[in-house]
Amino acid sequence: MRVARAHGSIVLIGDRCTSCMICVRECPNWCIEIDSHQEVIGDPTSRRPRVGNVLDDFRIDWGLCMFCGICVDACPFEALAWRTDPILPADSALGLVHDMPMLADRSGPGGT
Amino acid sequence: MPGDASQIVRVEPEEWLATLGDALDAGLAMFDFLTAVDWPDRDQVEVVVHVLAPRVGRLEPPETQLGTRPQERGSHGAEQGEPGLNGSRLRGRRVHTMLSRQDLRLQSLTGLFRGALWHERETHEMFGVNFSGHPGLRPLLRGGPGTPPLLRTTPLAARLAVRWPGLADPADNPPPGVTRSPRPGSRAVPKVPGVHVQWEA
Repeated sequence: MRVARAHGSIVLIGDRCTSCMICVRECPNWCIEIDSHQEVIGDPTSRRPRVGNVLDDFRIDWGLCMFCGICVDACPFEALAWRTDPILPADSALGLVHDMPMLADRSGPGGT
Repeated sequence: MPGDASQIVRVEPEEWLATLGDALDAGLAMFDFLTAVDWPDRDQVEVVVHVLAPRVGRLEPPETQLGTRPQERGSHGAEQGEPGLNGSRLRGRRVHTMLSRQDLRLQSLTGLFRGALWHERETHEMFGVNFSGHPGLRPLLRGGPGTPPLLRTTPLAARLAVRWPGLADPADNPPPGVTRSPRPGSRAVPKVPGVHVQWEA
């Protein structure tokens, strides 16, 4: 029997994330890490090229996360959302650190 | 705390023992808890204790609870009840006192409430409060040296061992060829959550 959990885990919708770092800095448990860089957007020959953020990796350490949802609430771009799937156990602490592909996986039941 | 309608009393540390003696005389004989809160900005540690009137029997009206001395009933004013287990109202009283962080001493309540033995040991271990008259303030968990762990000025090792991930910023990795010269102070330095200022000193 499947037990519905409103707060099973958090999913990342990567193309909405702007690497603004708000979730990382709001997290009370320091469980989110973002790798990012900046790239030139538009005409690179312009006198003052525009620069935008590019997300390289997004990691949540589920061993530290207390499922408070502050990151979900704080994100101005709705790039983080609750999903009902629980986090599966891992055989090491490092296995609970999920990177961007794992966080973006919305294939399971309860996905958004 | 939700649903808590206990009478709240704030007293000076010198009045601590007498206040709780009065509560016991008023029938508040059930020791609920004793703990502390650190207020480093005020340079104070707050100690709080909660006592209740035991409810004996389901049908007993609240006026005839055991431990109440009839002649003293009412001398402490009307006390609001709080929800009990089966919808009844329990009388309770929460007593607070503020101690100077330089003088963390308080009289022990163990002569009045046996239940305070464990709680005062815990509060001594976690906040460094010395309860005079307690028969044995042995640590419950840690032992050994070190400042009391629940004082906010005690560094949390896990916070010192790890770099705060919020220090990273996309602007640290600008595109090649694009040199930006940010004005001094233009990028706000984010405040690190969960780290007390005194840890960094």
